[in-house]
Amino acid sequence: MNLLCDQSDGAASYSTRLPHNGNHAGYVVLRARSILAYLQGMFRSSCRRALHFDLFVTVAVRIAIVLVALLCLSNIASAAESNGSVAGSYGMPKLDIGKGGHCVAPPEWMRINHMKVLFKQRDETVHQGIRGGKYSLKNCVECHASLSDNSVIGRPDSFCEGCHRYEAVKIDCFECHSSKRSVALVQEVPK
Amino acid sequence: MSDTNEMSGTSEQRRQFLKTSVGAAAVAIAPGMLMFDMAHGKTEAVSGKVRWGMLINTANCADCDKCVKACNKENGLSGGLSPTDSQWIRKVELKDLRTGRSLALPMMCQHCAEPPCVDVCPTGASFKRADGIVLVDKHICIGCRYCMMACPYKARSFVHEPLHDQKPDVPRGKGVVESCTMCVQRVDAGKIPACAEACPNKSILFGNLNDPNSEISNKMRTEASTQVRADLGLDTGLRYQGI
Repeated sequence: MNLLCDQSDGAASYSTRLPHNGNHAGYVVLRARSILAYLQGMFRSSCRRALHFDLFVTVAVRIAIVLVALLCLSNIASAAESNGSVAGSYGMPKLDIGKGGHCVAPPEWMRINHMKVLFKQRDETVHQGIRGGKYSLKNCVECHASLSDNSVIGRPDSFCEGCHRYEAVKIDCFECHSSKRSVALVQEVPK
Repeated sequence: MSDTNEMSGTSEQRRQFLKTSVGAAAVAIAPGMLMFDMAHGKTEAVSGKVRWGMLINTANCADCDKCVKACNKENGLSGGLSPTDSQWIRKVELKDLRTGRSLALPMMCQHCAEPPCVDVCPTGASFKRADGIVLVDKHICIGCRYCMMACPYKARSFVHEPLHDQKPDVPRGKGVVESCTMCVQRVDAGKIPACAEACPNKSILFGNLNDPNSEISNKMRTEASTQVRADLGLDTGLRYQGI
């Protein structure tokens, strides 16, 4: 009880009492002894209890934590596999790849070269009227626009914006080009 | 003798078999190729054998603006009339002050064979496609608006404000010049421009000026038509009747 009072008074009571008795060293020793005794008591009682109940609870909690961790890990792994996104050891962005499916070229190749093929096809389409090549921006959007907001930009995990944020490369495309999938256009083509 | 007969019989059979199989293969593959073309669009570059043009009969031009509305809808224009709104086609009313005769006609990019906008463009963004359609490559345009000054028809507009929700086939953006594209996305898909399709009186006739048998060539051969500002010698792709 005495100790508890000391604790609650804290440093303030300690400093005010010092000038009165003047026995600084003795006070500190007394105080240290009392703290030690208190801790010993605590330890003994907790050991007695822990032997019966606390030990059981601690072990159960530990097992539960391990199980939850395992579950989370397996979930993350399966999610990464199912949407084919990159969640490598370098903290690469996890992307919402929309409909996905077979890309026009292997994803590893596209990651490096997509801008080159897009630029080439862009010039051919604008100047020579060659349309319907497989590397069109419209094709990218058609497959990879998110199924939730129908867009390839606008969110940290959007197909285009996710990687471009990670690489700190500004995308100008969608200031003019539509970033949204056009369902009506897909229906119009086979006519 | 009998040997040769047998031989010839066998080779005949073989020939027949080859013919049949080639025919079957053709039948099997042809629709697939056709479907591929339809699904994927043109895979060949446009050629100078074609020159797209329009013949506009002002006598039939009614008191409506369906061509303007169709253009706005097809290309995602706002349709506003403020000085900073893009107008790719507009109805122009003319009145002869002496006689009092008035007429209206749609005015837009005339798709000149010798386009002044292309001549003055400092970056090469303004260009004429092989099939005669004059376009702006907005990836190259720096927005200097020199072409707008050069155009005798005031056909070009500058985009002043950021745009949203553009059409997937008609990319448009702030900071560049744009104008009538003769609905290039429709023409490449084998359709006619939106204004020509929308005109209730079929006043706008679209076709290939280089094909002597096309409807537009026939009509231009038999009926009088004129270029606007023919004195400039631009050889416009659009011609008007009744002005």
